[in-house]
Amino acid sequence: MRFKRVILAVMLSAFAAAASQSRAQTSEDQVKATFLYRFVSFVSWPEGVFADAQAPIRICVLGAAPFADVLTRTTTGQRVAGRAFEIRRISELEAVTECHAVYAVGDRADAVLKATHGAPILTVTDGALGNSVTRGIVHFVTVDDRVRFHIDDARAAESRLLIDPRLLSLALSVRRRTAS
Amino acid sequence: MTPLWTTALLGSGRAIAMIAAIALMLLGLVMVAFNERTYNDQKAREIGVQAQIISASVAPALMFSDNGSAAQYLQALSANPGVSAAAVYDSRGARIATYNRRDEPQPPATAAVHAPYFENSSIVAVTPVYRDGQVFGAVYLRTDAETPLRRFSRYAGVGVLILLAALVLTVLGLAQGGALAGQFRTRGTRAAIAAGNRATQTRRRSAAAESKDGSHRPIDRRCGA
Repeated sequence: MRFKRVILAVMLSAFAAAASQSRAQTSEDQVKATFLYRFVSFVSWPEGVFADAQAPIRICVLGAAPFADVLTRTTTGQRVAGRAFEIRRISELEAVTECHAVYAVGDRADAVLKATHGAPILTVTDGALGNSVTRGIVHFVTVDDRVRFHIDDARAAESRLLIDPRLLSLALSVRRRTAS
Repeated sequence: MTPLWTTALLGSGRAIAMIAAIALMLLGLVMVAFNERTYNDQKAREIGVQAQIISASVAPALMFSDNGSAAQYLQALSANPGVSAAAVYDSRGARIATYNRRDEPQPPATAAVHAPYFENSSIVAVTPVYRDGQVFGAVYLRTDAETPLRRFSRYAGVGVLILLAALVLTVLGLAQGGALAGQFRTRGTRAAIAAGNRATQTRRRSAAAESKDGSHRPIDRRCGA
């Protein structure tokens, strides 16, 4: 009887810990999703990338299905420079080239970066979910339980993207673009 | 004796001078009031624009929950000695960053968005922080307004000039009135002298005529009388 109680207590504790961790992850995903769509407000794409002035900003998510749902909820009804958001969950690398921004985590992040090299696509990687060496133009990290980010402005320059200096000033580190 | 109309003219000259002096002083007061209003409006506009610039600068910090960057930005305001206090509030109204000059009170814990207004010897503006149509918080900015003594010193010079001008006008008016009266008096004297001369000549002519005609004329005159 006593043994059963111990087992029950352990199971409840494990369940509570899992629930807490899940809540924390959801909250972190929520912050990252908010940050991700707000990044768009500080990035300028080269002319001709958008079909017209009302064309939506297409953000693709590869390898993080729950995050795609959070991002969809977060961006619903939001607009940046008069453009709505279109969140697309992709599984094939080929589809990446149709996106304006891509959030890639896990093993395939490296492949995404290679596939988008030089293309006007804002690549966002996540140090908390996968290889911390592979870094997109924006790379999320968690510092003191707070979501922060690094910016690779040199890569942004290669992709012909212009990042607002005010966003650069908030980054933990910035790899500067070379003066042209 | 000075004619009545001359006295009236002298009086009206003084009155015109007085009216002109009073009008000048009133005009001076109107000018001061107008300048004061223009200065206040201009100062309020300046503070509003300054608050908007800060608001645009701290917007990314609010958007990415970077309180440290917002605080750093506010600390940079210490380079401007005219800024006495500033604060950044998030979308829930909580103060996330603050700056106040030494010996100056802290910005309020909460602040509602408000057009620039004068508060004692300060000008205060509370501007929303927004981007892409979304409000992310607010910026509170308090700067020094001119002290009453400095304002007085600014207008003192103009006031003295106006008083001097009024005084000159009065003196000129009085002097002109006096000169006119003198001129009229001189004219009157000349006319009297001319009349006297004419009478003397007439008497002389009469005397000459009498000496030619003998004593008939005086008899005739007496008979006629």
